[in-house]
Amino acid sequence: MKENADVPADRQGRDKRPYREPAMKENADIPADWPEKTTFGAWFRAVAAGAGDRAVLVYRDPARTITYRELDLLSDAIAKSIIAMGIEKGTHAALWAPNIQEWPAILLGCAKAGLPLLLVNTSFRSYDLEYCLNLVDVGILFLASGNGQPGEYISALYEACPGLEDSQPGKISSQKLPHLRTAVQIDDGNHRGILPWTAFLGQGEQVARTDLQARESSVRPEDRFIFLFTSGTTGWPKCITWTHERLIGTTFTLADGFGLAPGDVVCIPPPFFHLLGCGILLSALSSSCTVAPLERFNPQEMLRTIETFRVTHIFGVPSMFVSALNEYNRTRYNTASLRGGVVAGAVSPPAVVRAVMDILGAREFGICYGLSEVLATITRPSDPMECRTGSIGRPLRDTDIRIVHPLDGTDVRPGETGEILVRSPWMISGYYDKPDTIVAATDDDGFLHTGDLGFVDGDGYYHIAGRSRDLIIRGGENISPSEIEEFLLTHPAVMDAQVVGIKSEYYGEEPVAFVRTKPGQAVTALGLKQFCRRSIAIEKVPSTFFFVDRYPLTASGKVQKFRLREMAAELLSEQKR
Amino acid sequence: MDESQIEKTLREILARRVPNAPIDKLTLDAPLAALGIDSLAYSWILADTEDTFGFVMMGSDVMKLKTLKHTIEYVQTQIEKKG
Repeated sequence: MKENADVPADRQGRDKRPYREPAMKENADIPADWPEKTTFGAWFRAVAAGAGDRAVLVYRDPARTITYRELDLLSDAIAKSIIAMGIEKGTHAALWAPNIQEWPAILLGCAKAGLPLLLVNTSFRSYDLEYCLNLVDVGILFLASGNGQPGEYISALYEACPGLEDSQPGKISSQKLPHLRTAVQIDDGNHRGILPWTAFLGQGEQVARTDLQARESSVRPEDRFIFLFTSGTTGWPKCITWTHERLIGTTFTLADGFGLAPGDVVCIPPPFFHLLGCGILLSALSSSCTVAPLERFNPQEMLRTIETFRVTHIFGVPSMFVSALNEYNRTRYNTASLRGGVVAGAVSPPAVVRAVMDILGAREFGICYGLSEVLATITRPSDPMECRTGSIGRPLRDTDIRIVHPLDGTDVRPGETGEILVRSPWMISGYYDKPDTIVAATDDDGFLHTGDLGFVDGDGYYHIAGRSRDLIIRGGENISPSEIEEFLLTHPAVMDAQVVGIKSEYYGEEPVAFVRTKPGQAVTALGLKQFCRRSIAIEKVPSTFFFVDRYPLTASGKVQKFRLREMAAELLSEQKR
Repeated sequence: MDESQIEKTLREILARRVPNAPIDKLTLDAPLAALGIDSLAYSWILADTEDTFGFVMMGSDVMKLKTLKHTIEYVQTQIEKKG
């Protein structure tokens, strides 16, 4: 790190230079038939005016159903409270909650008040939380009590933010989270230093409508709106930023691909913080649909929701459909209302897609492929059946794809495998903390190099052939091995750690770790799991740990991760015997 | 640890991680999926089982825990392996 000696770094050695927007070139022309440039606040106001008293969010608890008009008013109230508390436009906010009705209301409230919003992973624990709140310099955090375990988020926040208990709400002062001033608990509670929901909403009651209008009109379509984390393959997850106009563009592109129409009922099992869940939610709103979210995924609840609300479109990652199909065989909920939807987030076996069509009855069901940075392809109901189950379809509207030779960058012939490159006017605006990275990953023609391998067949349908990087996808959740490796080094007995993904019957893939301990130090696999569980999201915790003296290396001294994957498979099959 | 102790401990874990499910009425052969356990809760059930009985489980071991009876048998096997 000698060459960076003058670069300010935090205690984990991360670059903490002030943020600068990456010098992005316009990577494609904005389509001529696209809606006028707007912000999310203005966009939703227009949507709500049209949809009025139609239910926007429905839950099995009828008291929690909310209409488009009510959601618009609730987001107004949130924006007014933000104004009343003196929180300036541009202050960074964060939202940490499962798929509850307040989630979209806070998103829209922040859009109206001009607060860029960080969407926090619902599985995060204190260590991840501290990292992401600090990286984005979050000033106000909205948090639920927990995700299944009441109080878990509150405890994690107290751990990540020493001094919170002795702070006045709105005047938090903590060395570990120097930018955080306000924490609002969405479901009312009484915790020192944290503002309860009703008290927060009460703040804005005196704010005039004209003040809200003035604030809203100061927000520009090109302002940053959303931050979310994607698990990169090198280092910690990258923080992606979307502007209002680019996220709206993505929303419309998805709605076009999904074929949603007013009155459709959309079930969203994936978490809203994930681009998949958020993208489906926003595209459903843009089409004036009714959304039936699952607070947390479980297959029985997914099927019961489909039956109860006569859901027409269902979305999820492959493992969700595998579990739902197993559950359907046992419970036989009525899914006759299903018509469409997509599977995304990981490569889906053709048999699963076919079963969703044939067994659950979603005849227009399809596959969507994309990255957190840009969406790419979708299958359509009019495509031949073998392409709807065995390919990832064709490009979404206004999206260009190339398949190139990984070494020389020339286009390969149909049928030949190469790296997938994607270009769209709605690519992310950049990475917040690594502004140069997106530029480096984008070529002179504006194509993003995805790192995924694939090919196009003779009929123009695209196919995934694998990943060229070490990313682990556990149940649709992207996990960066190097992020876990870095965390493991904080254990006093660990000298070195390597994490790889291995095949899992249940999750598709799951992480395992190879660890070298420091001389004279000992730790058990269970001890390391417990150490991880205390501080990082549970899906990132390696399922098991193997202790080794050395790693298999390449001639140039790099760890051969493919060899570690083979070793893990051998060791696990020995353990079974 | 005998079978009844393992069963009692597993019921306590389930009651803690699936707070609204009628664990006291759960029979040995009833499918655990019927309790409406979400994926996150499953992860924590595995974690609690590991912590309580002192062994490490793979995520895909969830597939082996179809009923309480299967889970008791699984735990017994792992304890025996551990010696």
